[in-house]
Amino acid sequence: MADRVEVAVVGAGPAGLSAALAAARAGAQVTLIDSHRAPGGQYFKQAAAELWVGNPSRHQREGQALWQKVMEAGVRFLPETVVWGTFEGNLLALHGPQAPSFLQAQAIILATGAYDRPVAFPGWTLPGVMTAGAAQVLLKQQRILPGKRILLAGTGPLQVVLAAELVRAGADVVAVLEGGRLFTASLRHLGVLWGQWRRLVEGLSSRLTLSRWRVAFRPGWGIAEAHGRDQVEAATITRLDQDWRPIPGSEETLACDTLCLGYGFIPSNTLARLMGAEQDWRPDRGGEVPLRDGHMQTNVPGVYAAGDGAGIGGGPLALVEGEIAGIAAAARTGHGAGDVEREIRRLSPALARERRFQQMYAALFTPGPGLYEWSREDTILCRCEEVTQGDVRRAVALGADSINEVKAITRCGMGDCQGRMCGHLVAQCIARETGRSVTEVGVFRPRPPIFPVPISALGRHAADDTSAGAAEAIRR
Amino acid sequence: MTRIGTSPEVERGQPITITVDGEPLQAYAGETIAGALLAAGRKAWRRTLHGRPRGMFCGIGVCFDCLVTVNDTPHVRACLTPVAAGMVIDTGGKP
Amino acid sequence: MNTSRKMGAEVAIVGGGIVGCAAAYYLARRGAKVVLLEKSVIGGEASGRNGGGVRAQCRDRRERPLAMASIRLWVGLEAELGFDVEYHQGGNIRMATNDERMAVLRREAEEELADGLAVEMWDRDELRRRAPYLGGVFSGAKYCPTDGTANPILATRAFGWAARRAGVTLLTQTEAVSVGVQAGRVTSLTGRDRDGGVLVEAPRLIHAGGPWTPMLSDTLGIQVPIEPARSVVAVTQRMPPLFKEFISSHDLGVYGRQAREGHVHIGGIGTPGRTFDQGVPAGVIERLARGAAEAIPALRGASFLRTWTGTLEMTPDRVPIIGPVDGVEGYILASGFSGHGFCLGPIVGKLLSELIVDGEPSLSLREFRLSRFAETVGSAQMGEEMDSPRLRGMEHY
Repeated sequence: MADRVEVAVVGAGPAGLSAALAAARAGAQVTLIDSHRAPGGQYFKQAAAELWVGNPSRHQREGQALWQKVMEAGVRFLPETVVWGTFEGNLLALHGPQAPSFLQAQAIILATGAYDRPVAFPGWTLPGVMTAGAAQVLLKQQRILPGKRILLAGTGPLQVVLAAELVRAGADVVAVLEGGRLFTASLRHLGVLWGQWRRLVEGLSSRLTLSRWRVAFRPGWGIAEAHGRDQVEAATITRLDQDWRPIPGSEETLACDTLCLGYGFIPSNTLARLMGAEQDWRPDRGGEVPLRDGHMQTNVPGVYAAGDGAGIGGGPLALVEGEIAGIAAAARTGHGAGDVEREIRRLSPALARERRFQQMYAALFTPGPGLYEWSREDTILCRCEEVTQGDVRRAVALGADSINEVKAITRCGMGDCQGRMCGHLVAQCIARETGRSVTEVGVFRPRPPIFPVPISALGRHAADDTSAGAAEAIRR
Repeated sequence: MTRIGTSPEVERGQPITITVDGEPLQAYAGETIAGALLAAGRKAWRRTLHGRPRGMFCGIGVCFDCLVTVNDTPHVRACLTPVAAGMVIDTGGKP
Repeated sequence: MNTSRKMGAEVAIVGGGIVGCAAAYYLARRGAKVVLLEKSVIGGEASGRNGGGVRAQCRDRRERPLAMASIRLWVGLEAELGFDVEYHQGGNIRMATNDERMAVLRREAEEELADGLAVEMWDRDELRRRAPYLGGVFSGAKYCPTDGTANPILATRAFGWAARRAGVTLLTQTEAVSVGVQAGRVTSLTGRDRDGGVLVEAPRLIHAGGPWTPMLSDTLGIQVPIEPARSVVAVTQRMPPLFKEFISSHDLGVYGRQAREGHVHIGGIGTPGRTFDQGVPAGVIERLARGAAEAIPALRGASFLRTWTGTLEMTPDRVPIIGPVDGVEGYILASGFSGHGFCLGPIVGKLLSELIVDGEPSLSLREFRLSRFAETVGSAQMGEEMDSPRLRGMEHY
């Protein structure tokens, strides 16, 4: 027997919190699910409850305030809970300490967020090479530095902000490498920045901090190789052409013990795909994104998607999209005073403003195609199964021309991360080898469980026969 | 030492001792296992099937690189798991 | 349809599973010109999705000599195909949880020994000693030391690649749509792919189409009693080495093996859903978890990482249909393997090559003739037979 709820929100980052609040305020019964211990996602990452921090960041304060409202609105929160599958009739399969094994929701809002884009180059699997997001978690949640001598490589203002935070926290930041050459491109987009005062101020303040501490900011540079035996000890950097291809002969080597990669984000869309939501390939939005209407509803009735999980757009956009999805989902379940369309239209200016910002951001900071040529034959593409670029090319030579065929032969994508890290890397490699487009090459076929689930938890439910009603529910 | 800040800026949770590969390690409540290991200067704590060293990569629980065995339970993500007093962690090589 | 491409062959084959690919390979090695049509990819269906057991024990008596001969081929397959298919002759344990099951296993052992298949009965103590990783719920077992496991994905593809190297034309993403027949004999096979049609002119057709066999045989007016059935497999995260055998328990409804890198595969035994649908039912995942934890207590701390389904092809008596068909000369069926065709793939392929090139297979295929169904029951009763209580307890996986 499944638990029932009117609106289920998957993910408690800005989109999920905003959606849960909007739906609850409209009168709907809401359950909010997140796989982490505390709400906030990455954007509103809070310091751990056991820490006292004297100067929480603006984001942390904003997230705390929003969380307060969500709690006051009577939303039920299921922390440390994973949605591992979905079955017919939009039935969600859950695993978590307070969660029922199945949840039947009339409306589901997917606010699953995103994760840092993995970038492959020789040595990228060395300990000490991590994503910028990993460094952010350590800083914000635990006030720990990821290392002592830190090199940042990526694109966009986020890593400038991160570098400034690291410097202020006492780290030796070696340099900030920016893949793009920004100057002419950015002039075209200056108008978009009107109305984005907070972002401008933050960005400028971070740049000033870096200047003051003499941290080099180097546009048009990327990573050729990370060196070290058991952990990173140095990185060879390389000049990039306008397509982000390494320019031979331009290399320099810098000593470092930590390398933070900030090359954008990939939407977490496995759950959306498992639910049958039709996807579109949008490199400017991070990869595969679900098709949605003006209510943030996907082509699956009752399933909505908001925030970075539906296409990279940043925190403020996620808040607006979440609110729209919350209003729409509540209306679907028969709640909400007044005219739903008018409620949503009220949010149009904010939505449009944030979307314009996102488009500018994408135009400036989407990595060039050369990013996928930083790897060599012996570079690992699939971290979990240690499958190299050469292995992928050999599979293509045997006749595999799709990602699922290459997976079958090489085991790439069969590891614990279920292809989240290597999906884009392997697809781009196959596309280059075969001349097919990335969409033709395809994506790893999603099947439950979409995260590993303990056998002890699954077996217990079978023994209780509590899932009798759900037993024959099927999801492709 | 890579924990940030003196007391006006941050007060750590209470000190906790965990055991890592048989040796005691000082940590603080609120830290994850990965945080405690990194704060102690340890970047590599796992060996892949083919013997390559790994530590923390994505930091948010999606890459499954940071796996450790905690109190005999294998495949635990160090970046998501808060330290607890008396925790026994085994990083040793292949699962 | 515009069949823009035309080609000639001595043998056309429908189906790129292990049976079709093995037949193509052995035929090409005997010098025959072969064209194989596969509607998706080589090994894309049951041959690449099954539990990976390569076994001769626990079979219908008719299949036993084929299975025993096939295992001799499996032992030499890596050398034959030039590819490591992860074959491991680690033995096969069929466990019992009660006296009734033990009695069934003992009767089966008598028959198997009489047929020359070496099996042993283990009592509780012996089981504990030989397989300490198995749960205490088992009271005994039947063990076959010459059975083993292999990697279905790689084995099927290895046959395909070897067939291609031997000169076979493999047309993937090409669906067979009709068979040309003139004066009671096969003349051609028509297929359709993304670019249009292909016409293969050939006097012989091996139809190894799995559960999709009836769709094509119907167009020939031939009734082939095969129905689809869904089967589910779940795989764990990598575990330390626990066991090397193929294990199964009819009572718990699960079978399992540990693959080369440590992942444990768990599949279901029972009455699978009669459907082409390849969705994974929640209830089945839970039943596999429960069966796995009871069968192998060490899995209680493990997690399922992935599940998938495959579509079986079930015949009324759960024994395959192999051989020529009356009334259409040159048309040879090789389907209906009812969930236990993986082991038989190599030998069936070889026997079909012998049938075609030598005029006679080295092992009789008579027991597998399509006409056996018409001989025992009228066609009107065919549907009832599929549900017969007598069959529900039988092996099918």
